[in-house]
Amino acid sequence: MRKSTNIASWILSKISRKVYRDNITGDFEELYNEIYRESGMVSAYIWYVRHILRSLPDIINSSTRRSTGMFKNYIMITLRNIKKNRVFSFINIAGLSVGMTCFILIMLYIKFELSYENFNENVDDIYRVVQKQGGNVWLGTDMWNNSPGPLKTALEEDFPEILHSARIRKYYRGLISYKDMYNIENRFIFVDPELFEIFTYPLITGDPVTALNEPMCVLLTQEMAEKYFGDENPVGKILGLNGKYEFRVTGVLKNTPANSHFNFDFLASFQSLYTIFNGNEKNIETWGNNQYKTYIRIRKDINLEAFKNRFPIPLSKYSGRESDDRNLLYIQPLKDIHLYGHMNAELEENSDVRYVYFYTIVAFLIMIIACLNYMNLSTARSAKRSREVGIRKAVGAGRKNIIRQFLGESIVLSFFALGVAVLLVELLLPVFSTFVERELTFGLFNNKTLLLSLLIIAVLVGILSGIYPALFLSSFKPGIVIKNISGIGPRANVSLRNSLVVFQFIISIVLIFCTIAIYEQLNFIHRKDLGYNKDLIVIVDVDRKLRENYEAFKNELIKYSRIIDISVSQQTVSFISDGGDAIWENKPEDRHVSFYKTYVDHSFLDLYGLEILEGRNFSLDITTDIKNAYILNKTAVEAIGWEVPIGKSFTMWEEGYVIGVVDDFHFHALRSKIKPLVLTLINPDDPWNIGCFSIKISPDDISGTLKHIEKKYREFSPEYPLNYSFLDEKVERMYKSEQRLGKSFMSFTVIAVFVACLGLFGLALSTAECRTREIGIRKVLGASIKNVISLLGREFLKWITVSVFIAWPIGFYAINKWLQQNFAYRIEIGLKIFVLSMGFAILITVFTVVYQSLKAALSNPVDSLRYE
Amino acid sequence: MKILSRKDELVLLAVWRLQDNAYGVPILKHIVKNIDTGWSLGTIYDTLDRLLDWGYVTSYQSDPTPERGGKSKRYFMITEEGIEALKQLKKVQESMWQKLPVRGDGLKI
Repeated sequence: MRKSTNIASWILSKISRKVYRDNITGDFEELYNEIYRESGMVSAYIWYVRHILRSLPDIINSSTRRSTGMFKNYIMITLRNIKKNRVFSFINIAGLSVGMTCFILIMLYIKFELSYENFNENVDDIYRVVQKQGGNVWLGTDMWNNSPGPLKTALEEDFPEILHSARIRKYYRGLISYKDMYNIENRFIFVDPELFEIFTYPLITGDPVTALNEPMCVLLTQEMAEKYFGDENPVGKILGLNGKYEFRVTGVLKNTPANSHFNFDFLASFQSLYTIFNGNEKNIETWGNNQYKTYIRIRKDINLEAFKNRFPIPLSKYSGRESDDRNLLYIQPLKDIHLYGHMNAELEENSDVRYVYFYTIVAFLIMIIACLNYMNLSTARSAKRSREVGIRKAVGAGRKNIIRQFLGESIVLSFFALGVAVLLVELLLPVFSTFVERELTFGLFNNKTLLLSLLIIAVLVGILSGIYPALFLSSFKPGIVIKNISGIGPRANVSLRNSLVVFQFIISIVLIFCTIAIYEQLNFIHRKDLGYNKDLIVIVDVDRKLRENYEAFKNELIKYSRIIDISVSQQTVSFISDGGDAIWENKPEDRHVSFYKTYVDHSFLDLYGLEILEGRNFSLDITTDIKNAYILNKTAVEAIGWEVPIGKSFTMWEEGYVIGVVDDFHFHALRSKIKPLVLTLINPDDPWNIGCFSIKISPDDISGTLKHIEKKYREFSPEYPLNYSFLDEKVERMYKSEQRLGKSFMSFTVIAVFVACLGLFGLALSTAECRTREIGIRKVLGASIKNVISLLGREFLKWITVSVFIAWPIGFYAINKWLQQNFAYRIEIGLKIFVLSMGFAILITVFTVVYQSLKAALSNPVDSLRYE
Repeated sequence: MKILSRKDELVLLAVWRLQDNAYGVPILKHIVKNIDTGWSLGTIYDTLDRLLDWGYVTSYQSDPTPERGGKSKRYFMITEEGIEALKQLKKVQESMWQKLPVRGDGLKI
């Protein structure tokens, strides 16, 4: 006979009454075996679990029937206690609910982060093919997630394990038009039709098998269909791209889920690229153009280890090009992209698993602080309850009953807090969602797991925070506590209470310390001289139309009196990302220097106030400057090792020579050191590489100037919408993640400090209450108000100071690590941060404690001594 | 005397009917056979526990048997008071069922 044991039967045996325990479990065994014999193990098992669950309410009912009197009494006492001690109940519930709110919000965020790509049915079989381009370190890594066009076919031929593969190519800033509607769309991608075999993107109308089979076909999301076609049926309609190409709409997709590492509004057939690159098919078929992302879906029945072990594969195996020897192909599981991404050329910004860890730790810390509060306050107030415990014990309550009562109390309180927390979460979710830039949803009642886990959290928090007080209070000896007329029970373990306070404050002070340091660093970034002017400069993106007659546009604008100077360049001064290898005079074979390179015009250096250290700027009078002249930055010259750089020959795609050296400036965020940079002139006859205008404007009537720019832009390029930004704002935006970190630290600090202060306040209150008579006697004997305050405050200050000294090294270590890992240019953690964090902690303590102490000190001794 | 609830009534009748074989499993089967839904062992024990308190049934333990995982059975027997309570209930029911108006034709009591 089979014996079934599982969690359900364990619960059953735990809660059924002792008298019937064997009978009930025996009956279950018997029926289980009967069903097992008749219909097999699975149905027997299902029956077993379901039947136990169905029986639970009645079993609980019958086991508690005999003790309901007691239970009712517990609940009544709990509610009375909550009512009687309004302040303490408020402190406890407020602390716990703030903690729970944080916890729930953060858990929602983490759940979302971990849900990335899960909407794909075959998520575990999908991989992205990536490359490690040996030596090509770019923005901190040599991992690249793009690959050349022909790789798809090559891999399919080489690997029978691959079920499907598809390429993606993003099309940036496409001008989409329908009738007289023009919009710049950034989420336009070209894909192979196999995309639908790999990813799960349901179509509302259209056939996924054929929709992208022909050139110049496009699918669009529901949102876009509404935007462009309103109520019309989009299928069969024609959308324009850049006023040059026409795409036929073959279907409508559901809007893409937010938890995906790339999102799109338009999916165009890959074949269309041949039309767009008409005459330049090389672009797609060459091994030298890494413009594509390749995704594969593998078969389920293969030997996964063997498949994975075949990687890395040198790209040269497929391309046959010797130069591809150092480019190694890897596969990256789809699920890893969002949290472990960090490669060059990501389609969208990925997150980092470190944020997930960080938020989890914070969630637990705040929860712990809140639980400690409860523990601390309940033990501190044990004196008040000691007689109750004594009498309960005297009339026959065992230790177990007392423990049950106090645990019950904390669980009831914790459920109160959960109720408040749920409301708070509902209220704060929109704010929090914008803050973490995710579309989070709560949907409590549609989500059984969530509901269940919240209940479990409430019970756990109740048990966690109630267990110590319960054990402590139940240990009272009835004889002693009842006899003790003063009502003061045995003193709670004071050193434990103090260490709890110290622990809470360590956490708070570490957070305060980190927050101050992060803001110092942000401040430092804000004020740091980047080596170029960033004020009052407007950056205008160049579109295809403007590019053709950029010179005319420039000449037109400069006529306006409030425009001081204007320059065109390939990239913005604050972020130059193009570049590669170079050759120079007497370059040693084994030297490898990566240069960043950008195209500028004659006025670029002047407009940005970049200083020429040696040689000269580009000159309008010297025609050979176009194509042949290079200006290097100081770092580049040092990297090469030239003593006299001027006139040296230098080749970066075009042969030329060095005409000048410019002082270093930060063309990347301050996270990385200044890298070698090469500036060269835009060729006015072939301005393909113009990316933006930098327009220096005068400080008065800025909005008028902007209007003027917009007006002129309209004249030159009526279809394309104007896209402009201020350089200083652009620079600030580069530190968005740091600013967000600063903000989250700030909010968590405020919350943690708030909760810890609640606890401190409660503790101060209860100390003052317990010592009312002592203070009365002291005052009668001549103690001044000052004496009393210092008597009460001193102890707290002592412990806060202890926590400060423990918190400092922790905070220092954490922040130092963060600074070193993230910033090449950073602040020194100076005395200021130490002093500030300590001062802040003491200030808060004094603030929280002083009211209670004052009240106690000012009270008339007659009142406090009278009732004896 | 208490008026039995429907649950009490059904369980008590089952115990009476099953005589020497009245323990959890057959009681459940007997009831499920007759009314089909909504009954679990938990409900039966809950009800029996109450009936035991009122003295309508008595119970004794059997020896453990192997097919029950070495657990013993608890047999229940209806008492005189139990039978009396059932009769009482039946009487109440019958009198309550008297002289009900036929639905729809407006007869008054």
